Amino acid sequence: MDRKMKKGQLLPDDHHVMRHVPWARQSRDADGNVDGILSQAFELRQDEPGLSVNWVEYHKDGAPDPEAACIKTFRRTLDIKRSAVFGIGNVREISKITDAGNHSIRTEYSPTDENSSHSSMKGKALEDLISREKLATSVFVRLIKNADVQP
Amino acid sequence: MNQPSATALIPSNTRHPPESSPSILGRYGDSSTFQSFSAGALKGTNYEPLHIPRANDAFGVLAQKITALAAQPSPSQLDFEADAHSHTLEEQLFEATAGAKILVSRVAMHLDTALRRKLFDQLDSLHDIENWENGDIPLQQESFSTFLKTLFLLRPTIRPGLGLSIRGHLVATWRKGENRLTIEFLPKEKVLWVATISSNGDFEHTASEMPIAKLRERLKPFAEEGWIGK
Repeated sequence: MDRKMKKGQLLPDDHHVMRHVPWARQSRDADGNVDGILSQAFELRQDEPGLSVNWVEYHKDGAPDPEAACIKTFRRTLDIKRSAVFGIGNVREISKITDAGNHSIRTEYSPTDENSSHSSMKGKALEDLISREKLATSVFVRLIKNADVQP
Repeated sequence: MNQPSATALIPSNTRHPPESSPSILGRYGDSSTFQSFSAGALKGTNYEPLHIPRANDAFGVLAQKITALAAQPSPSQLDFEADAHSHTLEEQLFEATAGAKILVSRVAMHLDTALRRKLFDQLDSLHDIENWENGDIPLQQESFSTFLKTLFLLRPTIRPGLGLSIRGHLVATWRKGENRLTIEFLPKEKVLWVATISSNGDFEHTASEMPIAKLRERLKPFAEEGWIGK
């Protein structure tokens, strides 16, 4: 895994990113059984330049379980609640999503001082509800429960 | 979702008035506009026929009542605002759910007791501090007001799952197999809805933002296919 990537570079198409989804943005039935994530999990907050995700393959070197290592990075840098889930999406599948104006979503490397795997999903398509619904129902379909990953 | 077949989530032990007198909702309209409709059946529960006014008569009055109630500060909110600087997160979360529950209680005669309790449980779960995401906005009263009005308008017989957007808008989802209908309740009686439809191994999506007055007609195909019940 090439860790010499520069800030702003696009992640490789065959790689994956992980999105933290809190309890309120999880899709569930009337009895509370989680069955996915809501499109609202991909809404940008007012001051956010892009959707925060962690680069899964960044954790491949030296970690037997890169996904678990990625989740531990989340725990180290954010206040992750036990009820959280993490959705995993492929970079190529993310880039295929376009809105009616043919705008797409790019996933770029954006490390921070606290999190070297931090990346951002950016693009005008994120303003489109159907694009966000596609992310929720067709791309980030593999979920890992925070409670299932040991400390 | 034809008006004559509107299903009320009213339990069978509710006292029903005779044909000639106003129904439970009679205080909101002229009794001559009322008709009796045969009720659908919520899964596992039987409902008896209930006098229900035409949706565009009593619904409008009920919607106005909900709007008026939502605009009133709750008793706890009055104390809350007096000392705004010391609001802990717990207090903010409590205030949000308390306000919603008070609003429900004031129109409780139109809601099944068990369903009301389930709704409260769902709201509590969304505002549990153990689950709360920093930076989120608690449930906004205006969004909840739109949600309640939508419930009375659509009269779904299948309870939705509930979520909350970062802006404090309530979100309801219904699933039918791989299909999903999601409605986000905005202020001022507007909704943002999106449907994901599984089709030959692929997905189709359709979405719109619209006033709730148009929602019933627009969601009719989904209702007819049983997405939100009969």
